[in-house]
Amino acid sequence: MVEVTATLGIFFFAALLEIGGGYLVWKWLKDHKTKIFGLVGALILFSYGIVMTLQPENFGKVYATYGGIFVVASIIWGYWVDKKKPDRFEIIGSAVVLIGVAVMFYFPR
Amino acid sequence: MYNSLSYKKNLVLMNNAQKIMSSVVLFFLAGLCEIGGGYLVWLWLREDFSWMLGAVGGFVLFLYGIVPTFQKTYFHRVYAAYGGVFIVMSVFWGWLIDGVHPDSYDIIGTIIAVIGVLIIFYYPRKGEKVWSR
Repeated sequence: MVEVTATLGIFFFAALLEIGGGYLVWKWLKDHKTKIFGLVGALILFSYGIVMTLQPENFGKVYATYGGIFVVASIIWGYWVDKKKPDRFEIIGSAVVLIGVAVMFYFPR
Repeated sequence: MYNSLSYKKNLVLMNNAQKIMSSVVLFFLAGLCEIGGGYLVWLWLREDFSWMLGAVGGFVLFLYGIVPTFQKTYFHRVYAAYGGVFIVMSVFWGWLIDGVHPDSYDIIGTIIAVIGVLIIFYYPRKGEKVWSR
């Protein structure tokens, strides 16, 4: 259980870094903010790659599972930033995605 | 053969097909940069390769941050679909490039996750705008 909490924490932290870093690069190029935004964004994206290496599994499994976390993060992002309330099928689909990656990452072998 | 109405309709269809194609290519490119960059950082820290690979990986991750700025969709559901593509690409990357064979739970889990993404993306809804500009 401790391991589940720790690995989930790492996954969500990684998602925060990826989306945050990407957002800063976006601000730099699309909203013409200073280069500092791009630079800090690049460093945060790099740290996303570093945080992912903390997971106690092989590369493909870690990244595939992270993809599922990313799906849920996109839906939450749409809710917070675009103010688009997830509909029933987005919630059901997200739950199915989470079940799938949980089977992959957490099913005891 | 064509009257002007169906000609216009075809133009719109072609325009949409073009947008979808360029969007798919960009997502594929983003996935390649994200997974490839992450893999180089992984080789540096987990497999004791030179720090230079880590540095190149960091740069490729930065490129990954640039790719979505060319994306013409702002729709979060499309990003959810990208997550599905990302899951499948990661499994193949681990298998073909990292040489770790996925076991049956990996494969079952991937299939379930993709079904979830298909529910999010393809369940028909009315009157939604997907593209900006």
